[in-house]
Amino acid sequence: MRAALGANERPPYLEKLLNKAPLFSLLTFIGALYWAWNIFNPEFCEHTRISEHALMGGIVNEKFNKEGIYTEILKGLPARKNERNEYLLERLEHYRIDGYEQRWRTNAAIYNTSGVNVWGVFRAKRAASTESLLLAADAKDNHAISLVVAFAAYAQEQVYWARDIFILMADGGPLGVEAFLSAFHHTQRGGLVFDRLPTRGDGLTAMLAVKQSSKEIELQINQLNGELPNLDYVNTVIRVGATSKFRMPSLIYGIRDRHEGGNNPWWLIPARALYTQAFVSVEGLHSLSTKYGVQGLTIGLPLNSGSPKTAAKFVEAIMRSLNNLLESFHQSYFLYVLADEDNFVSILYFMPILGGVVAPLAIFAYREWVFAVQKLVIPSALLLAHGAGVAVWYCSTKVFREHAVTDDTPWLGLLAAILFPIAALFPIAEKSKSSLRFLLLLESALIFGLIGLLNFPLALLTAILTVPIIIVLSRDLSVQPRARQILQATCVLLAHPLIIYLLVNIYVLPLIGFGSVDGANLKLQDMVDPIRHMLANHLLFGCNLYPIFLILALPIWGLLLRLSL
Amino acid sequence: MEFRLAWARLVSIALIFVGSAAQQAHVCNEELTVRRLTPHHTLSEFRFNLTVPTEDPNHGFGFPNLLLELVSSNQVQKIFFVLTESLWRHEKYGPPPQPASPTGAVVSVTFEGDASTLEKRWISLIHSMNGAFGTSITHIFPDTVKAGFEFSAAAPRESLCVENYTPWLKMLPCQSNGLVNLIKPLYSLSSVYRSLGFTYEKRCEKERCWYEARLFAFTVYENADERVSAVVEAIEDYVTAPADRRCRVATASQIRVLLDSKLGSKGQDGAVEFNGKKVQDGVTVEVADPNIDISRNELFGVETTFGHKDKFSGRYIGVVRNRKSQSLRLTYTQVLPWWFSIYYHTATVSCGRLSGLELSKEKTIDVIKRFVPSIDRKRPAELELQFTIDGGSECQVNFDFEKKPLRLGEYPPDANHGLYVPAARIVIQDKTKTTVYSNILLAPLLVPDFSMPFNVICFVATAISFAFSTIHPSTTGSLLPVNGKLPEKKLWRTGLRLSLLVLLVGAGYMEYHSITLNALRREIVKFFERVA
Repeated sequence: MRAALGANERPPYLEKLLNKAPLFSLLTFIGALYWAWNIFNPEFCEHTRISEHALMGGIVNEKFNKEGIYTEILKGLPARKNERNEYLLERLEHYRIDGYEQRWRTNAAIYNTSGVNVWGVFRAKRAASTESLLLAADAKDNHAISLVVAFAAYAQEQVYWARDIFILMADGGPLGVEAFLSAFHHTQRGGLVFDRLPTRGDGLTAMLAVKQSSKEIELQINQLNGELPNLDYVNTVIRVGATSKFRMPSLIYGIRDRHEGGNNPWWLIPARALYTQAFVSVEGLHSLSTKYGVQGLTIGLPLNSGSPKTAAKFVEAIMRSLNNLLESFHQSYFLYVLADEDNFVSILYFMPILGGVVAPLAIFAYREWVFAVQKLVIPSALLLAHGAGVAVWYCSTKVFREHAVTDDTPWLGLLAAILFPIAALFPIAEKSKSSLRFLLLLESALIFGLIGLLNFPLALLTAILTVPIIIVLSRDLSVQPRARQILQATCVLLAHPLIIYLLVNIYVLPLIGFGSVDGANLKLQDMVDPIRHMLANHLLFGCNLYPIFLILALPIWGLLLRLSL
Repeated sequence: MEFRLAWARLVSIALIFVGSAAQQAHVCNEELTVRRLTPHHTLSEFRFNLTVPTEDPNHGFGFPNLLLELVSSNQVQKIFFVLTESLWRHEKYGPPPQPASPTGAVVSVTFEGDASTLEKRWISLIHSMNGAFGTSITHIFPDTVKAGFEFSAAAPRESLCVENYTPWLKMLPCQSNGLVNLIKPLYSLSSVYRSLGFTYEKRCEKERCWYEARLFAFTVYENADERVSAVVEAIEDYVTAPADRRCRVATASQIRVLLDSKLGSKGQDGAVEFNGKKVQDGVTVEVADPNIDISRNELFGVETTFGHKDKFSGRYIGVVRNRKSQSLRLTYTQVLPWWFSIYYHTATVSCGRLSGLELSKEKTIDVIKRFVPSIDRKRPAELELQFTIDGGSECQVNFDFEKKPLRLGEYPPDANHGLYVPAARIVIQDKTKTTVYSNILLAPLLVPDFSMPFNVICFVATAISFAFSTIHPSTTGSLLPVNGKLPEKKLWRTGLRLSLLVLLVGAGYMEYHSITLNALRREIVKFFERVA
């Protein structure tokens, strides 16, 4: 029988938790990583399955027979290279497809470019044009364009389509797609100015982008801000490719599945999945579709080396599968991590990892609350630090949107603003330091949790890297020797988010086949480039990495520095 | 010009029928018009006009009993009923044959008699028609627009199938002879557009009344060359056949072929020839060349769409294009289901000039608006806008809306497909009054997770049990021994605990070995059988 507790007493397990906080924190952190190591192993993952049976992937009898048109376009495009769009429109008209041009330009001075999309539509002959599909290719990819036009020429003769089919030759890649999708949905977002569409359909259900790949089917699924297309769609493509008609196993994240003869370690696919979802904002033409509620992915097809007819039949199989869809994609998962071609980890299993990784922050916050905080004071520095982040974000987006950048000076100015610990300038009373420490730990835990709900890989990867740093470097060393305090402040200074990113880029990313920074020849440009990419993606596409970096990550770093001073 | 001529011709034919009906007691006219819409599309229009005096409807060919039954039991003065599959593509096909119809089913009724029983009679009529014409339109009551004695509703998702043709054909006085021979419901399934319906009206003049019914069937075929040759052959078979294949009760039977003037000529004896064969008596054949000019078809266009679409809200956008040189006066009417909340103050019409596909900067124009707000589950919203669209211009009708959540039982089985919104109706006040319809719209719904109640119950119950069994006692409770005496050990209590433990272990064993309860039951039955 448990003894009675006094008014200020805590249950014994909470006492133990407080007294052995570092031990419990280490246990939850390592336990979470161990859990991750196990659940991302394809051996223990759930097997993918198609929940929406109406898709009937690979069951149809593909009858594409317009390979002649593919060859004609492929030869015609280089021959008419100065009037490609006119040539494409002329061909589309010839094949009885309504073809149009759409001009667009960026209105963000940071990236001053323009383009002209060529797009076409053929209506479902017996349907009421209430839904549609989009088939897209990059305007520079002659093979992919030829495939799209040849497929369209074939498909417009068929009577079984239940949805209108739009085809898009996107000039400028993702920017062209963004212009088209924005115009299609009658939206006008910040980064682009574009022509409206003279005609359109309704309810874009899915988008398929095709591109030329070297040997095998390459599958790209990552969307902006860590979103993913419905797992049923991904599965359909994989399963159609794996049918005996095509025998084309898919490369996921550029890696061949071990069951299909790949010799990479099993963890490489989930590691790449997590990294690219977190930090690669725009992977391909498809990456912006989910922003508009359209399920999209890109398939790379071996058009140069393989048979275009087989590739076109593969596209036909996928499009007819999408045509069969009775409702919008909703049956299967939207939140998942692919472990390999046939296995995935659902949110049920991967969210506890984040809980375990972030739990030390909550434990230490609790300890701070119990042992250090006498009276909770919300320091003005906390609000000012985030306010400064908002100000830098607002000013930088305004400047780089409205003013053309001709040299690197503005970038260096922005870099200086980012590197300079603005938050460390705000004064904090000595007695409110414990409150700030508590709030900082709690805030970090909540931020990771909230980002995890929107973009799990981003929250997880940043938490794995920064939770130990935040806990170690937020310790109160006021009674410790001065040398230790200086060492702590130096460590915090070096733990700038940008420096962490560079270190990861140099030492960690090469392990998974990424990383573009040469550690031996580090240049100032290597620090400017990530900022430039984040800002451009934010202004043009609406990627939220840049505001998260400025409004959340930098203030926390600045306040850590303030605490250590 | 082509556009106006076509309508003038149709109206004149209608007037002829009306005029002839006024003079004769019983009128039964049948007419087929086949015309090219584009080089790749052919339209066939079948029209049957029946007029009988009310005092003797069964005399002669006999007015359709089905209609008489429907109108007499529900005191109906007018009915307009049409089923349409696919979409009339204005900018490709040109103006639609009248009466135009939107995708799906449309019922419009004008009642007479007692005003207090209108609602009851409307429900009764819809149920009767639903059964009689093989449709599924009984869900349209909350979408009914009521204006005095007029009731109308649309079911945009309703399809037109072969079984809908059967009751329609049975309303014709000649079901196996006459032009009806040329209607092949099965073939119409290969068409790209088809529409089938009728209008009924009780018309009175100088103390004498008539029942009038006009039945029509419109079909658009693609791949015109093959299809046209088949159509020409069918017509040739019919017009050269003996007179016993004609509808004997028909007072007029006319075929107009606007495909190729070479199909018709006068023979040496002065008799009309079709495709080189002599046309037999009993049918009038007119052959002409349509002089298809696709650019004329593109003169007028209308389409509607949703912008900024998400599950909660959006913007309605209706686009009307007038590529003619003269301006047009329009009445644009959009009926929206009750689950749309329209922000009426955002309703605007903005117009710009078209130059090719380009549109100049749009300006908001003044319009006359009429708005009837919806009542949840009872009445749809109705927005009517009157404005003038200049020649060579495009106008956009815009308004913002939100979607209301439905009750669980109001969702269709395929909730994630969405619900349909009826087409906008545009009445063009040119020299004649022409009605056209836009496309119907599919609105994605605010769909709940239908399995969520189960999940919530499980999770909440688990959370509460955890909270109360551990956290709540440990944080609020303090157990104090009252007298230090422990309860006595009892055999029954030990037994109960033991049996619970056995059950728990057994359940775990079954779960581990995937043994179902049915399998367990079978094993128990077998055990007792062995024991017995």
